[in-house]
Amino acid sequence: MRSFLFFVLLCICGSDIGAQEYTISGYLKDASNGETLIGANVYIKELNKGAVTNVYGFYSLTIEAGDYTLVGSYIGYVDFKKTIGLNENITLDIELELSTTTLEEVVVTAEEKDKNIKDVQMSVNKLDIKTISKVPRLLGEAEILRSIQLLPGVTSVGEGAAGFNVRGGSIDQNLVLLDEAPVYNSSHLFGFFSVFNPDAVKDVQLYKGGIPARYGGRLSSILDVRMKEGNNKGFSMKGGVGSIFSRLSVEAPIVKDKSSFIIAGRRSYIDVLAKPFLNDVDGNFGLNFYDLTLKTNYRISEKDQVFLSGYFGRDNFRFGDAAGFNWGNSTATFRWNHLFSEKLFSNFTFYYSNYDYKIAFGDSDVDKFDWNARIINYSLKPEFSYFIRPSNIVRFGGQSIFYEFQPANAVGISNNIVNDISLDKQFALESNAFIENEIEIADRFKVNYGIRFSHFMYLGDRNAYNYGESPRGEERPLTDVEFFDKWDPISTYYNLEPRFSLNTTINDVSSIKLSYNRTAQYVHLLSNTTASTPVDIWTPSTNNVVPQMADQIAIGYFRNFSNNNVEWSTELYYKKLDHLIDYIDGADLILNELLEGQILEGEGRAYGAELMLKKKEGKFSGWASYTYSVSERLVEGINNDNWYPSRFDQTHNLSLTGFYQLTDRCSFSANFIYNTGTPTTFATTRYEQQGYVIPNNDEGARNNVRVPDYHRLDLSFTIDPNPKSTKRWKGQWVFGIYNVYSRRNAFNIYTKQDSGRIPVGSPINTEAYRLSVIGNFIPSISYNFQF
Amino acid sequence: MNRLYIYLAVLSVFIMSCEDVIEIDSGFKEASLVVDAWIDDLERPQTVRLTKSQDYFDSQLATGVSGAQVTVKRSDGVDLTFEDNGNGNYVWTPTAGETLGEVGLSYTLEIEAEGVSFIAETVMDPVPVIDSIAQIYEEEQFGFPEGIYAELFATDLDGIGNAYWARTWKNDTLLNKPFEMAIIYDGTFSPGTGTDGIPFIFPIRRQVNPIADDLEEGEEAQAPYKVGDKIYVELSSISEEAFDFLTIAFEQMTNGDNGIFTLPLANSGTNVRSVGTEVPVLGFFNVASTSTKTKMIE
Repeated sequence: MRSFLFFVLLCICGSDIGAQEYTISGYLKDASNGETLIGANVYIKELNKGAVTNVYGFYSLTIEAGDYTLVGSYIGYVDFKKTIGLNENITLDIELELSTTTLEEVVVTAEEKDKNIKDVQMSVNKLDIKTISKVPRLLGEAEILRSIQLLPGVTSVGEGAAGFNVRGGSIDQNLVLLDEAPVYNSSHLFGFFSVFNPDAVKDVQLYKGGIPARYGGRLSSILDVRMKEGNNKGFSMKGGVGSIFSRLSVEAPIVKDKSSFIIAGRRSYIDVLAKPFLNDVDGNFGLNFYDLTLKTNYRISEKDQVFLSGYFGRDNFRFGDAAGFNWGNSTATFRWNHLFSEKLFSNFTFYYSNYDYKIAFGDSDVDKFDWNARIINYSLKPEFSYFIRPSNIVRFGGQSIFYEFQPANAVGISNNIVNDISLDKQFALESNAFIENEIEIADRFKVNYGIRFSHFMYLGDRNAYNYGESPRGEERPLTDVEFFDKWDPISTYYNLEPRFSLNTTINDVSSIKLSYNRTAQYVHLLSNTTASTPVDIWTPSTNNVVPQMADQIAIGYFRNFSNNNVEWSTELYYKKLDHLIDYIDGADLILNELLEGQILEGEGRAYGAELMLKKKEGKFSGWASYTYSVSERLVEGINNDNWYPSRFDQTHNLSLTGFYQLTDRCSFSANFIYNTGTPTTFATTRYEQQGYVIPNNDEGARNNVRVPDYHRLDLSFTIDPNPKSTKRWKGQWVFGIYNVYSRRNAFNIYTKQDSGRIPVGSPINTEAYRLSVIGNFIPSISYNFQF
Repeated sequence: MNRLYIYLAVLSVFIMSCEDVIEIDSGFKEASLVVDAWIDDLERPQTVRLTKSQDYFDSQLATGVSGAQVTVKRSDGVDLTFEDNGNGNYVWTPTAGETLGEVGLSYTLEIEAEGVSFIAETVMDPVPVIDSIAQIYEEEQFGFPEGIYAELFATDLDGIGNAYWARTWKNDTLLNKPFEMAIIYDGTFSPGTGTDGIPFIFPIRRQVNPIADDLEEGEEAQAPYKVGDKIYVELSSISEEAFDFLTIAFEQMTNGDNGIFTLPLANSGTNVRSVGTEVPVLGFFNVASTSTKTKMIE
């Protein structure tokens, strides 16, 4: 630890030499609502040097004294220009006015125009909320997680499945952050909608590779979702009425220019719509979800600002009086931004995150079953950015996360005998420290190198189980049980995770980037169904489950055309995954104290090519994305010990997304998606046992056949009845058709016997079935308003 | 507990899903021998069936394998010869008062079929008595219609690892739908909960009720009994390996109703092996002690 601190000091002191240098720093904001702008550009014209605002909208530029023209810019906004005489440190907050000419045009990327060329970061995709709201959508609802699946390298096992897969990684290998708090289940209604309310979201960034040292904890990606701060200029309200749920958000200043809040809520009404079709069921049927997102901030001084944000959401299912099932996340984040100096920006985050579900059956006191499970974590995370000069930023910090896993808290009462089948809680402490240095080492050469040290302890008090050997693919026998006291480490792991990115700018419009990252993951989602279910539980690394590891290299070529309006990118990646989790046949993932004996360890490899062409501005805008990818697994005991494709492997994946502004009033958008069918396994054979027909795969294969290819076209048409109106109330109609040509895309193909009763001794009919989650075209109308 | 996924699947299909029968190629190559040897200590003829496996989409009854030698050797030195009754059925008929043996004895099944020797071993495990079959009138709930439901009352034997299979006949018809397969481990659905010696839990007690015949895809509601119905239950002990075999069989037979939450395809592991060859074989050998109970609904 001491040498680490020394290294930090060395970086800071060693590079801070230079006379007559002054710093200009401040925040970039939207003039209309005071929202800070992430990734905006501040530029010194004379020096051809600039800075990009960080996730809090802060910039800092240290340059030699002199007279300069400073330009602040962000796509969709009018450039801000100011002449400054720099002979002392200057604090300058910049407010940008929305550009009226581009106001009604879709802006695909709202950031510095040639950021994709100049930035050292590769394998990153940014979607801003304006774009997400224009993408054609299911049931008329703007959807963040469904929109990111239109990006290269991002896939899903199928329509309606929870989560997403990045570059051949499983869904638990994505760290989904909402204002820095991890969200353990990012879906409502299984996978149809995500927990993120687009009205409350400011910025979405997905890191698929070249993950900088400041991020970690998951193997495959970081999805960093940042919430709005809330309008600090005046009251505003936004909402929408759609076919599946309604939304409402309110933002207002508390103290003008100093403090504001946003509160946004959604509630579904599927239960209300479904009621007429459920005559058989008594009045107590319910299926709904709701969520509430809130955030407030206070600018204490020029140097200090605090933020408090929270999320609470729940999916509820009730069936009659006696059975209920609900699940949801809650998160709370407190952040304090402090400027130690004009050059040293710091942020201290404390968060709490919880995911839990509850299941109850039975309303009798002598026979019932109550079960709940949860994962809770608390974390403290200090982070520092030291803006040494425009070409050099050092970031360092650390984090500690305390986890409490409650895999099952379950009590069954059977014939008046109480039977507690709860599993012991699991505790763990994950800590890490990182440092990264982003520096222009020579003209046109930029690097970001860093290292992350991560440490994990699986703690008592609880039993630790030791298992013996077993033949491959079979359950390992329990050999002994050892009890550990509270806070006693049962097992400890640590890893050094090097990170490296390089950008070689060939000329103003093209660059080549290269990156390597190692990532370690200490918590795992236990899931062996095609789509993950809400009852899947998270587990820590234990004495039997070692941390998952990944190494990824990527290389990319980036080229802009038409004055940076058109971006082209090509990326190749190779990722190696170790200590992946799989399960023996017939494993019981829930309510099983001895589950660790049923876990198999495997390895994985994923590689591919991602191409993307994007047009950012104009009457017509949009992007085309194509990915060729391979995602494979090797697990002893599965597929005869041979490599097999992962369940979400898609060889070809193409998506076309386009927006067209017809007139001031009307705009039109469309997307088309094509991908290779995902692999699955069919029964080859049937045989009889005691009158039952049992399926069998004689080859013992896994994922050796594919469901048919998937393709779909969606359209959407938006009308702003009165775009030039000066009234405060602004309405908008969105008409959409999802799955225009009603293709019955297969989510899955499976085999089963007829459901009717077959007399003993008569032949049983077995057939193959195709499950289409969406079997038809789905029209939608929604009305959005702001005030 | 994997049957929970079915409830989830029922939930998830509320949106707009649909299921179509399609034609695919199973990729089936070669039939192999299937040993269907679930015998018990009841005083009645005991049958071992030898059949052939078939293409998954070949919806015929399995073809019997005739001309084989089938012997069960007991650890107390007694050999029981199963006679070829044709059509793949091999039967051992006890003399009056005789049964297959008693709890604790080991059994070895030896088969000579189509020139290959096969062998399987097991032990007869104990089974609890069925205390009663109760009838309970229920109002409509969980989507189940109102009516008379039966409950099987028995208490798991002491010790971890007791597994049973409860088979129910309604008016002399075996309830043979996949969802009617009732397998029990220490009084609950599965190992790993650490329960022991408890009365069978509520959902297991209720598994003696038939699944309704007029259900939509994916539903699993039970149908009530009527006054005058006869219920006969056989509760058989099964080995832990047999429990694993039936667990996977159950999961795979019902997997199609898991919708978007299907489990990976898995094969039930056999305890039969060919001697000195790599000839594949399917099926299972279990010797059960069995308790029975009959109940007339009043």
